[in-house]
Parts: sequence; C-alpha cells; structure tokens
Amino acid sequence: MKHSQRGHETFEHTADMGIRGWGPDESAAICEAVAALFELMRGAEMPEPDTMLDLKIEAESLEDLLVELLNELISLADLSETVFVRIVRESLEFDEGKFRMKVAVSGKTGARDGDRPGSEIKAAVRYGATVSRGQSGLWTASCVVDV
Amino acid sequence: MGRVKTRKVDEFLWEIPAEGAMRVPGRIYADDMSMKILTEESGSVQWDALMQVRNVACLPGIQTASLAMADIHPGYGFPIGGVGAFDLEEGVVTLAGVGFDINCGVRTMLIDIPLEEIEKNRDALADELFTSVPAGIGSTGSLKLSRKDIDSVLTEGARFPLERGYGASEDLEYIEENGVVSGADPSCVSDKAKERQFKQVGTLGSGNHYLEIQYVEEIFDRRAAEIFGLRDGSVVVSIHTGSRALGHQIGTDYQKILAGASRRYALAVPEAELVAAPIRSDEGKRYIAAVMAGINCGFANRQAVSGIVRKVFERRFSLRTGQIRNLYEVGHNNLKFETHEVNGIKKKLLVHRKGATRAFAAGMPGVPERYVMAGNPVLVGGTMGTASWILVGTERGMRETFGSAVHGAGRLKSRKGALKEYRGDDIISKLSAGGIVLRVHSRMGAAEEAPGAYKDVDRVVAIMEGAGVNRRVARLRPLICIKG
Repeated sequence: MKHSQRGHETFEHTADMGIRGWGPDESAAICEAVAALFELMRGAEMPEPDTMLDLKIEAESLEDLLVELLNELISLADLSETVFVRIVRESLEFDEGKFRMKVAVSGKTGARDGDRPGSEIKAAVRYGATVSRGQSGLWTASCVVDV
Repeated sequence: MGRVKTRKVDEFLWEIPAEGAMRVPGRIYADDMSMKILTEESGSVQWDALMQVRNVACLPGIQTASLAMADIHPGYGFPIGGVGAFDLEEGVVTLAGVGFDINCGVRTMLIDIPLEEIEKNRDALADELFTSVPAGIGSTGSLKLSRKDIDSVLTEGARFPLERGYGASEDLEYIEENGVVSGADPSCVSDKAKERQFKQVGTLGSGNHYLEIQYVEEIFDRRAAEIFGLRDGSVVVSIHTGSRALGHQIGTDYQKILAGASRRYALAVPEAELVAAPIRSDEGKRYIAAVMAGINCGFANRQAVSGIVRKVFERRFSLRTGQIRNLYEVGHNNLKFETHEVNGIKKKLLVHRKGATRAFAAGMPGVPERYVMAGNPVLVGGTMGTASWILVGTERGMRETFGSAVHGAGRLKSRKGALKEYRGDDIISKLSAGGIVLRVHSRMGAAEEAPGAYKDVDRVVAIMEGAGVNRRVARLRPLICIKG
C-alpha cells in the first residue's frame, strides 16, 4: 500500500481482482475503493462526464456498506449504460444501528459498447471484505470483485 | 508449510483428514507438483484454496467429502474446481458454491467441413464471427426482450431462442437437461436482474468467455470419439459463456439474503462469509428457484449465440442445417438435484459444482441416448494458445466425485500478475505465429487471459485420468479465438 494520505490500488487474487482504497476516515477509504472499481471498469479512458447520479445505501456494517455500494454501482452502470468517472460528493453517518451513505457520481452516458477497454465486473464479493483503521490511523476499505 | 494438514492417498489424490468442525474429509485431485503450489499458497496468501476445501467440509449436511478437481484454485468461500453434495433434509445451499456466473458453461458443435476450408478462410471467418457475435463490455444481443419475454427465458431456457430462429430443434437433445431445468421461479428473481438482461441474451461477455473454432488434434479414446462423431481433424466450434448480467445480479441479491439466513438459522459455518441457507428454508428454496431461473437463462444465452454462429457458417460455407450438429452443452457453475450412492444407499442430493463439470458415466440416466455407451461429453476449456479437451466420466468418478470433472485449466497467475507480465499485442502476435487467429474487444483482456496465466491443461486432465475418475477422449487445438 502506498504511503499517501489517500489513494487506491488493485491487489492480486488468482481468479478475480482485489480493490483497495485508503484515506483519513471510513468514508474516504470507501470512496477510494469505488475509484479503484471505476478504473477497472473503464480501463485507461477518462471520458468527460455528462451526467450525475445519486445513490443512498444503508447497511449494518461498514463491510456490508462497501460491498452494497460497489454492487449498486455495478448494476447502475449496466442499467444506465454509463461509464462512471468519479464520486463528486459523499456523506456517511451512523444512526440507529445503521451506516448510511449518500454519494453522487459523475459519468458519461451511452459510452458502453463492446469495444471499450476495461473489465466487465460481475459483482463485488462479501467474502473477505474489510473496512478497518490501521496503526497509522488511516482507514482501509478492500474487497474482491468477480471478473 | 500450509495452514491445512493434508496426506497423500495415492499418486493423484490427497486428503484433508476430517478434524475439528469438519463433517467429512476434503479430497483434492492433484499431483505432487500442483499440491506443492497449493500448499505454498496455503501458507502465504489470504486466498487459500485448501482452506476453502476444508471450510466447505464443515457445512451442515455435506455428504462423503468436500471435493476439489485438478483445476482447483481459490474462489471466495468455495474453491473453483469444487464439488459439494448436500443432504436435502439437513443440508444447506451456499452461494459460494455457484458463484455469480450462474450456469457458465461450454457448448461444442461439430461442423461438417474440411479443416483445409477453415484454414483457407481463417482471417475472413474470424472477422465475420467477431462482428456477428456480440461480445465485450456492455454489448447488446440481437434478441430484444420485453419484461414478459424475460420471464419466458427463465422458464423455457434454450427453447426460447430456438423458437425464434436461433439454432436447430435437434440441439436440445444434446444439451444437459435438454436445455431447460424445472423449479425455476421468475418471481424469485429481482426486477433489476431481469432489466439488466433485456439486451444481453445472445452475448458472449468478456473475461474468460470465448468463441473458438478448433479441430481434433489427437484422439485418446477411439470408441468414445466414434460415439460422439469425432474424427482426427474434425472441425468444431466451442462457445463459453453463461447467464450474463442476470446471473450476476441474482448472486448480488442473494448474497445479502443468504447472509441474513446464515445468522437467522445460526448455521455452524466456519466463516461468516460462506453464506448459506438450509435447503428446506424459505430463503434456501427461493435462492434455488432463482438459480434454476439463472441456469435456464444460461441455456438460452448459449442457444442464441450458437444460432448466430450457425448462420455465419451456413452463409459463408453454404452449409445445410444438418451439417452443423450440437455435440453437447454442459455448465460448470451449477446446482443440481441428483441421485447418488452414499454409504451404499441411493439418495437425492443437492450437488454444487463451482468450476466443475457434470461427468455422468456410460449408462447413467440423463446421458443422451446416442452417447449412452460413452457417458456425457465433458467439455473442458483450456487456453487460447494451447488446447481444450473432451473427456468422459467413469464409474469410479460416479462413486468418488458425484460424477464430476474439471472445467478448465485453472488459473495459475492472477489477472494483475498477468497484466504485469504480458501485453495484449504480444499475445496476438505470438498466437498468430503459431497459426491461431485471435480477435479481441479488449487488449487488456487478452493479456489477462494469456495462455501462460493458466495451468498446463494437458497435465490437469492427465491427473483426472490418472485418478481414474475422468477419461480423455480428444484434444482440441484452437484455430480462431474470439474474446470479449
């Protein structure tokens, strides 16, 4: 893992691909993991966004929240035929035993066709997903995505 | 040194003795070299295939053994190459034993055309197949569906595209379960899953999915080959794809539901993430009904893709329908209700095959009449640069593996590792030099799927034959490969 305050990377898994994000708090780490997912999905391209989509996710644990957010974005990319570019706004709160996260993502519509670079991601996997704070104080969010 | 204790049973079989929470032993088909790799991984990586075999052996109701075929590599919870059969009363159904690519599988069709004809037309045929068969990210099938249609796909399987002009009626006889399983309930599949599939029936997908034109390079079992209609140099088309986005979304939806069920029924599962539900529970029944719908969607998808391929061949080579015959189609990410012998008693079980293929031996019910003296053809996808295989199951395989076989070579290197080591353009050039035409929608995908990223498929099938559970029939050499 790199030693910047905030960032993301992929990590090795024999059949699939691991994604990891880190940052100063839970929310930043999760958003960086999302950025890693977007990079996998769109490849080297960085299209100019022309749309914005809002999502709300709630879950009983941060790990569930991470996996559900990633899966919601994977489905939404398919349904809206959008290539996601980045998270432009996010908020995370914990209330009545549940984590609630709101995100706004930018993307380019109509950019999905058979000749795009990038990977087709089937799903984010709950198995082995973690969101935790390390000794350095930085938070890390990681999980495996089925490719 | 690995974290999991193993002992060598014989040259091609290893056992994880049933200890602690394990209800049955683990059994792994492997030689010394592949076991060494698995054991080293077991001591050094988070994703540990041997530990996954062990964990599956702890699930309630598992019968005889938690099995791993010779193409074993780490999955999530359940190893790829894993087989687990469960008692219907005490047992569980687990999502990890099916995965997100429900009924991913292979269809192989025999083309009655001389090999030289393909060789003469290799580039033009590759181009035509590449433009005709939708593949790659977000690709759209030619079979446009309404909401009502998608429910029909989920209950009718391969019949749905067949009735709309995709394929020949004889195809159904040579598809596992004749191309449709019972027990599929579209109401157990979310609207989101259905909506994602509207445009995806008849698409190849990406990742390790492919369309290959191959020829029979070598025959190992002449009698079985003759029964299947395979001769030296026979030309075949193999299609590897599954239930596409619908299957992915079923997995995603039930990941949450089964996690809740694992807690609700206080299942003694070794890891919280190996989510499961009792087969007889409401959640278990609904998941099984959704998977059956996904299986039918996989059948429909391969039927639609094969219909497109059939038309390309008929047009280009002026072939009649009868000159293209479906050899067989079989899935390798499935749940099946099957009857097997356990401790000398025949009983109905729920068999999970995650990256493992049904390999029913000669004389078994479910094998097409034409193949009854050989068993169902087992279609093993290798790599785009080496070979694929056709195998059959054996009586010993029926006893030891619930009639199962390998499904592929099995990955050796991670996708990230392959990207570091290979470049898509180099792979295309190298294959071309070896006489294999590769057409890809993603050069990154070509690098991820480089032949060197996989185990030696010849060795993998030799292990299964050495163990006496599968038998080699024919080795197929690729000529043209289309990747998503």
